[in-house]
Amino acid sequence: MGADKYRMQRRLGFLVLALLLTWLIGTFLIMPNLNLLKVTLFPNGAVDVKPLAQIFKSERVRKALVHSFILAVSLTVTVNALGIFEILVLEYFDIRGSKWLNIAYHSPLICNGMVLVTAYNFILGSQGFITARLMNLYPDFNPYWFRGFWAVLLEMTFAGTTNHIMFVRDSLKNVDYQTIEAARNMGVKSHRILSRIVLPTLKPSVFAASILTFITGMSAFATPQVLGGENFETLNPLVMSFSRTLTTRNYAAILAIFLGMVSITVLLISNYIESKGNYVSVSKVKTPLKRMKIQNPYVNGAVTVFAHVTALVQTLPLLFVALFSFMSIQDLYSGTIRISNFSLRNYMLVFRSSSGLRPILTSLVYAGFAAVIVVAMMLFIGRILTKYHNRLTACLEVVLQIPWFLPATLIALGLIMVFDRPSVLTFGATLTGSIYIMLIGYVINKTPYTLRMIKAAYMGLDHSLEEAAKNLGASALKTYVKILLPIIWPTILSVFLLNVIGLLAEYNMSVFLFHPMYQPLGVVLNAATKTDALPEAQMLTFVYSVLIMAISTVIIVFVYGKKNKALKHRL
Amino acid sequence: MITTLYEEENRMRRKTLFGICALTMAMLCGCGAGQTNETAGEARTSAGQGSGETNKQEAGSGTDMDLGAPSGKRIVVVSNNLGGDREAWLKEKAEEAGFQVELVPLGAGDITARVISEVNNPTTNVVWGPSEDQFTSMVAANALVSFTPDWSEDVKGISKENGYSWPYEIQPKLLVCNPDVYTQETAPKNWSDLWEKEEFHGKYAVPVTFDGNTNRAVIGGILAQYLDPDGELGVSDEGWAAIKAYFDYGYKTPTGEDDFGNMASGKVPITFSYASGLKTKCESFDITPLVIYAENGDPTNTNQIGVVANKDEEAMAESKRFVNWIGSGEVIGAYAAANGNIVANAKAEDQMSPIAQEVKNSYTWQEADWTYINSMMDQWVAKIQLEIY
Repeated sequence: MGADKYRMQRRLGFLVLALLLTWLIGTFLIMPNLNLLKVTLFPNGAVDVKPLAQIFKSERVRKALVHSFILAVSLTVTVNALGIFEILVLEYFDIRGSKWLNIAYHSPLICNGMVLVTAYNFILGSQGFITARLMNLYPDFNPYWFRGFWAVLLEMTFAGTTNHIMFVRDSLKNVDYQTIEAARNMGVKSHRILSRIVLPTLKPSVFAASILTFITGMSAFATPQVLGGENFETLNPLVMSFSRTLTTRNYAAILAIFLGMVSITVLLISNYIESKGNYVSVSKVKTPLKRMKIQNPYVNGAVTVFAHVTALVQTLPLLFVALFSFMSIQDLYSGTIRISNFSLRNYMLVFRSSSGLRPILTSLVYAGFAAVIVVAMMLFIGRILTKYHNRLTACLEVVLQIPWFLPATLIALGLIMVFDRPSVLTFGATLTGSIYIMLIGYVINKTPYTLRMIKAAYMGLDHSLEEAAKNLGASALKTYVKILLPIIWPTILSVFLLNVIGLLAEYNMSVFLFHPMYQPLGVVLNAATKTDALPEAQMLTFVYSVLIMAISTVIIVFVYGKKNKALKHRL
Repeated sequence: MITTLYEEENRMRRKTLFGICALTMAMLCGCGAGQTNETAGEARTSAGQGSGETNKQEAGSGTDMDLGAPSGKRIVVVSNNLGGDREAWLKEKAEEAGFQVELVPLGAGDITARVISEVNNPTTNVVWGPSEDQFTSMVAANALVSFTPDWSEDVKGISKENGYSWPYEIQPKLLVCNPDVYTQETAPKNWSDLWEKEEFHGKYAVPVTFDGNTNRAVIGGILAQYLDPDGELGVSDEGWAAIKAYFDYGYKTPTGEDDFGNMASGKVPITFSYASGLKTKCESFDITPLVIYAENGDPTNTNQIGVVANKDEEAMAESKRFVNWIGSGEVIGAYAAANGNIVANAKAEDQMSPIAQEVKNSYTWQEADWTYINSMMDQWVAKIQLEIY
């Protein structure tokens, strides 16, 4: 009797949650985007093939598509190589200066995207600081040396290791040291230990990181735009440009669908491989990993040098951003850094503007709430996706990837257009022009990434733990809250952290969704640097970037405190 | 030991979980509350449902001469004119005059898209700065309210009147050259010289983005000379060849370089600028360039101001008072004196900066069917981006 009642309750609970989920996804994800695609692609109710033909005819588009794909594939290789190298340096090998390296390898977290690539450009670009020095030494030096595919790949590789530092590193920490010791006692060579024991355990997280990297490459925007030059254009800058004018939105939508099809294909393939994957289940009683010295002195020397060079490459641009923020625009564009000319003028301009520092607070609040909501939702959805494998869940997963390839501009427009009048689905509320619509946009924006990472965390769970708890009579909820959640808690914190930081300066969505009384950072920052804006506005970006870096650092330190605590408890 | 650790850990987790739940609940409640607020707001202001149409008629009562003094009601002014010191300047002056304004700096294209998409539930009250063709789209979307400001007579004849938005500034796009490289004699006389005369090949900057008014006007100015109803998108083959040559022989300023800076340093000695940017750009790069006034005229538009149609009558009345105030000879004159604008208001002309005076006296407005050009611009830009650029 009791068991029946319990089962009933559970079913009811599940039903309620499932209904809630269907409503949320249907209302906020599917309806606005479908409506937007309908309006842009079939403006008069009929298919207009002209734009499609024009796009296929365009050599620029064809080239850009190929470039995007090449970039995505190369980036997946290079980022994995560098990322795995970095986490091995931090956790597996005993390398000198590891404390400093640990800090340096986190720098892509606090400075990324447009700001970072702008900094690269003012250091290595045609009028950059280093280029100017080199041209003084060698008058024939090509000022455009740092441009094209290799420049883009280099910048994106060093900026792209975040997922490795945040997630793959955690799974490396999970490798059981006793297994390694046992192998060593049996006389297994250290490179074989690395390739046969350590790396295979990283597979699920490397897998997730690879997909993310692939999609980053496929949809690269800022870096190719700044460093790509005329000969290495990618697709997304075109998509963005088209999505901003009314009559060309259909081009943007078509190109976005292109990008989407490639991404979805990759995702489906990866899901297939992932489900086939037979992951090494490590020991139940884990012994924490101990760092080991590299025996061969030459290898040790080479690894140490490369580790520190990497650290410099990742941190120096940040230092330059800070320097730039004190400079005058003349000095910046002439590639001269004169300490005597440094002033607080740019800072004064930021603080004196009527909004002052309010945008930072606004963005923090929005980003924080959005990150909490999206993580909570994806914990539930990710659980469903890993537990049940059927057509419905497969479909759900694809739908949740939509925000990954639809340009943020189009998603935002979809939301505004659908919710600009009272609707049954929103219980009579008009969301457009309210303070909530940007929050909804942010949650949608971060959905695919969060789901991917949380799903990977669930996939890495040891099923025997769950079974044991069940056998001991624990309810499903209790098992989840007391056994599973604690294990993936560090991942949850990392995702939360990256979401908050990623949303701090979000622009493409915010510009349409923000409430005029609460201007977010990204909008203020970008309004200052629009095409028709005055050149001096460029300098303000650096000031805001310094502020963003400072805030991000505070958040990282705070979350890391929590994460380390959680990791310690886990052991 | 292990159990206690475990328990403690669980306690912690419970706390955090509880925290998340509480936050989520708070958000949900917030949403709920927000909904009621929204709906209340809806009810309060839904007198003029059917949006634009009704509002237009209601408020379209000719000149609103007797609006009275500012009430101090908070209004949102969205503008692309707020860069640098201008935001602080406007805020201070507006407050002195008794207005409570929330200034929102945004690009002109973003402003237009936002005002149009929010037509059923606007969040802005005054739009200050976009060009006439952007206002044309806003008017077509019923987003604005018909209104004639006090100073309408002072800007008569500057642009075609639509009854909704009014010009306050004239914005010619002018070629500028490095004075050490070119003299009045050797410099290009017309925009077409750039691609037609070999000596200028590689010496001039071309647009690299296509969403700004300046760049679009430059493209429009070129294609305007080749309009042909039988041609592709209304432009003759010759015209498409011309624009292709213009881009092929021009310098595409990469991010990280500044076209004006390149002109000043002599690296790429010819570029173009919107007139009101000249004063500040010249100060930034410490140069007095050779400004070219094309013999065939320069592509020119006006920047305008309008009031967003709103169900809140009080906000609309205050917005109109604000427009009356800011566009008046005295205020716009002081603004232009500080920022180098070319004013539309005849009463403010004396206050313009020397360089603006010179431009206003020297340039000619390129004759063309700008209404048609602007209506085709998006498609032209798409073609340029896909096939020419």
